[in-house]
Amino acid sequence: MQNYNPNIDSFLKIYSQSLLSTGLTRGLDENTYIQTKLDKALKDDILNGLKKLIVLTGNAGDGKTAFIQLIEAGAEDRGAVFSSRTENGCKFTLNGFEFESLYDGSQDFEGKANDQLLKEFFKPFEGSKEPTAKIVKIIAINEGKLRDFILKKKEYNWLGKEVHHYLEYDNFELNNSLAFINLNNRSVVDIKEQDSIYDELLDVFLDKENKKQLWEPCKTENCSYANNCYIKYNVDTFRDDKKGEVVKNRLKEIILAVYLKKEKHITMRDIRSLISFIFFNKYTCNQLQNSIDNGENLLDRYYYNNTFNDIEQDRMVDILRQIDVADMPLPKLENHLYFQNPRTELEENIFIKGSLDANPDLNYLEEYYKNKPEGTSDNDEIKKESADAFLSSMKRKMFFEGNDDFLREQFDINHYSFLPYKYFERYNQFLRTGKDNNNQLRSDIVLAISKSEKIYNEIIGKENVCISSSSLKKSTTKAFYGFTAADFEIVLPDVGDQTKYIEYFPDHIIFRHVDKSASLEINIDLFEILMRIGEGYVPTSIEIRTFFLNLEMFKRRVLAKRSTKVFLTEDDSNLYLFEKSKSGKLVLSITQ
Amino acid sequence: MALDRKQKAFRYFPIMPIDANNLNFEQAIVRLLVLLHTKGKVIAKTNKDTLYPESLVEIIKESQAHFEGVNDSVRERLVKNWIASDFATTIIEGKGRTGRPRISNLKPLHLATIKLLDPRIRSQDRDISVFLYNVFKGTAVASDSDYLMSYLLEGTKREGQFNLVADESKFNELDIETQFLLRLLDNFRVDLPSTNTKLVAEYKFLCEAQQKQFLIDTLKLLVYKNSVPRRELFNYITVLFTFHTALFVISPPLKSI
Repeated sequence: MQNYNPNIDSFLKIYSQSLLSTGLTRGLDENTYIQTKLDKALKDDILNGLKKLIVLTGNAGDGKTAFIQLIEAGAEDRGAVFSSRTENGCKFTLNGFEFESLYDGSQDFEGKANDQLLKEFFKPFEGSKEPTAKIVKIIAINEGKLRDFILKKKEYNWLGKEVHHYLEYDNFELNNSLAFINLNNRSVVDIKEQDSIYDELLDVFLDKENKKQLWEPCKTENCSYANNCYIKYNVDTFRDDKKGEVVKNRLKEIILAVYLKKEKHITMRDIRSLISFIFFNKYTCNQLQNSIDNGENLLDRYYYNNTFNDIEQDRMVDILRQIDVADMPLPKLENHLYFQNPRTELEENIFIKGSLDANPDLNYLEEYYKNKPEGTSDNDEIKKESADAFLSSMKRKMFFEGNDDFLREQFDINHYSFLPYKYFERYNQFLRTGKDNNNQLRSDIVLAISKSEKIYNEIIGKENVCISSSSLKKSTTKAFYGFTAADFEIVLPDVGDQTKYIEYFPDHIIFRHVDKSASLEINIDLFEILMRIGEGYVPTSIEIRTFFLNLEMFKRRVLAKRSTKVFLTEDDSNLYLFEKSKSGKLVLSITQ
Repeated sequence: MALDRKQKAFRYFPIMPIDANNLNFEQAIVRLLVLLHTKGKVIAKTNKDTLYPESLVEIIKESQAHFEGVNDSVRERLVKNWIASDFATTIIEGKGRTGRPRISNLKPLHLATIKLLDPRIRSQDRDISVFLYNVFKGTAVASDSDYLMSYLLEGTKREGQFNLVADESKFNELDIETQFLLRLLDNFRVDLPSTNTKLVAEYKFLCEAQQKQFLIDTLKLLVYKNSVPRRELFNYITVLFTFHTALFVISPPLKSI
């Protein structure tokens, strides 16, 4: 037996903190490169000379260089003649078009100042008309640099106008010969599509149809460790006909939660690195076999524990740790799990049945289970750690592989209950559809904002965005400016026609005044806390500091609008309305 | 710590127009509004009775042409407390702070608030208003049509030499809070400065650039007058004036070296 799968070594090199090498984290990796909308919709247009200038902006790791290199490879296949190749771009001719690429338009290169590089690159675009030369220029540059360079120079009259309007105006239609792609807007997950970047990448790793035979060396006939190997278990779980799709979707929901947190933009590099770590952890076949031979408990290398690893420095794993499903208290379930051997028949019902022969993780789980403290007076630290590892791992496994029907029936929960976001489904529902039936969501957000100002009358709080006047702390009477809820709307962000070229899924919702003078970007954390405030939750000072900065700024913007009514109250419930009547009198009346 | 007479003797107006002592900046701003309105004359007397928040409630009850609904004890209390917390600055009468709170002045939300400035209450302005007035005096910023004064006068017009009344043609454009304030103040007249009152002392900045910077910064803030709530913008203006005053206080000794 070979006991070795060479593909694993390649996959390990994709992880940002790889122990082997991080050589495959940058640039074009043909084994794991997936066709995105960018390739499908733009590549042919570029190679056929239909675009004169293609500007790619985005974060490091978004795939800008990889895309340009792919264009160059495509051109080479079509017989392009290269006149220069450097580490910062190429020049070549194809079908009579002069092509030039620049991988990084924001830095100096080989002693040439950045501005000089750009001046030469944009030379054909000087003047007040679209250039007529047969050229195709592709550049990766950051948006600020592009703005500074093009907009501040008189010579780019035509291009400057296009750049300015594109950056400043909603729904501006660029000249056909130009393509500006902001990869910051690209989403790696999309809950309503089954062919999102995440799905496509997973398909590459899993090779479900065995086209590349990536997992042939891991079969029991080729590897004597197959039945004890966590990599095989991880991969097979996702490839499983029965539970694979469910596990895949739940991992997608977790990654979606990270995306919606908006703490960090998830690049192509990040998602590849994360998938690599979740499936393979950091160790080669040889190393993991040694660990198995030494009898180590390897439970922390199973995919459900990798997802929430609390040691790794990877920027994605770092955020995933914050939404660890094991941290959500579920007392009824925990009480049940704690006293049940994971190998019992009852436990089998909790998980979705798969078609895997080996479940080596159950051995490790059982080991921890049997090493729990014996009674409340047992203070053995090692046993306590065992109990903790057991319960955390069980809850994580249950999140991914749990049978929702059984969980609902027995414990009145489902896998969403493990998430720190109680309103995850509702938030996603609006992101998916953009529809707010009967303005229910708007009413709830308005009420939450009003309640955050300590106005507790539900009717008034829903019908008006109520914002307290500034100096009421010592007063027994509170005054609130009222802004009619009907003057506000909730919408999804609009990225215009970029959706033709990039995978897009909104990562926030916008609550704004209909005249657009005041708008609040609501990410999933703010949404969660607003909905909880609507239920009566009082946020902690840390939550206020963390999530309320935008909300406070939004309130100040709303206050700049002329309020036409003021609510006065002594007890937060009985409210008096002060407003101008049709006759022009200022009237104080009690609200219903 | 209060300064004694000897220490105060060091005050020399051409160098330091401000009295070094505990101060109340809100009072300085209110008195600045007076000086801007009277073009440099202090209002030192009033023939108005002492006013309490409840006095204003009584006036609201009587002004049936403009107000309605303040007709039971709960509503009266609500309006009284609202006035006391959001519009008026009060001081407590009597020894031991056991008396009723009486109105010292209204918060400077509009030029018309000078109508209820009670000159009988000792000011802790420390001549900062004089200093601030000298910043604006003689500049276009102090004319009625300019950015600052038009903002301060918004929704009112002059009646006679000093009085201000609601300008009905622009009244509806104001927010409800300012409308309430101006309707209430329509029941009062601006007190007149005494005919023999001299103009406040003139201070000439040793550093003209400092005065210019002060003016420019004020104008920069006022660019946002249609985007920032009135109450909020007045807070910013107060912060700006405090900041520049502090800079001024720190800088003369350095310049004289």
